[in-house]
Amino acid sequence: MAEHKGINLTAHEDGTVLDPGVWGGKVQAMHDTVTFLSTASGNAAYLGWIPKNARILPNSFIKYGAMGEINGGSSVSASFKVGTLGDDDKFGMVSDAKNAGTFQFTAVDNNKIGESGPLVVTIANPGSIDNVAVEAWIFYVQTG
Amino acid sequence: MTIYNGINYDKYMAGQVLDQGLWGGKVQVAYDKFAYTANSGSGDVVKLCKLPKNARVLPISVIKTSAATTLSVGIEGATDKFVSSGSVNGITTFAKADGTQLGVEGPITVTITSTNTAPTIEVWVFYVQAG
Repeated sequence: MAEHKGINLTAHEDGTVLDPGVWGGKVQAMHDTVTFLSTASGNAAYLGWIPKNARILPNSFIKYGAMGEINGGSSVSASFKVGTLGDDDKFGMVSDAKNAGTFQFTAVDNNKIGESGPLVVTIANPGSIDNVAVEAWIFYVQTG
Repeated sequence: MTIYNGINYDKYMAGQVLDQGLWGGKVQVAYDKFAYTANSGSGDVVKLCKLPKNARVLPISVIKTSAATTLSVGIEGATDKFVSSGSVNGITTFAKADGTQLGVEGPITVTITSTNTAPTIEVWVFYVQAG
């Protein structure tokens, strides 16, 4: 049995002034939505605008409509990645988007995002359904 | 048909000035992380963040582990206030957080009851502060 302290609690107790992005930062929200006219592989949606040095929070999520599946001998469900312009699966991937659903970001690491830009949703496996709405709810903190 | 009013809606309609922690409060977030360099031990306590006096922890807060780890999340004196003891593998929300004021300032505590190979524990704690 032992007692341990987190890196930021340790730094705080040492007198370090912490970045508000990790220590009491104000949470901001961004919302955007788009309709994929076609769910062909490689189609991408640019949503919102994440500011430079934002830290994306792990309660961010995507709502999406049913994308269907392709039957080429065996059925393969539509899938999509969620990320940024430079890292298309930075926040995770939905491997089965045949039916409508909600995807909470799974791959959040609290690192700053770097340069500003949109959230990018990219179709990986194509779907059989057109006119599919995708909605992003992004929560983030911004640092100096 | 019957209309029921929430307790705070009722107070608001009666003209009461409500605590901002319940009614339009500014949401803040604190993040902290501890990475074991050796095995975790049963009974270990990991202290993370330091929440201000009278903070109200929100149930959208999350804990993330790098591997399945049996743990509970709370504060000093109430070690399972936010997450009951159980296995956490990846992200789990603070299902038991009810928005009550914490009282004195203090850390979030993660009490571990399993031995695992060098797990990493992270928390994002969302809260509002009252007057």
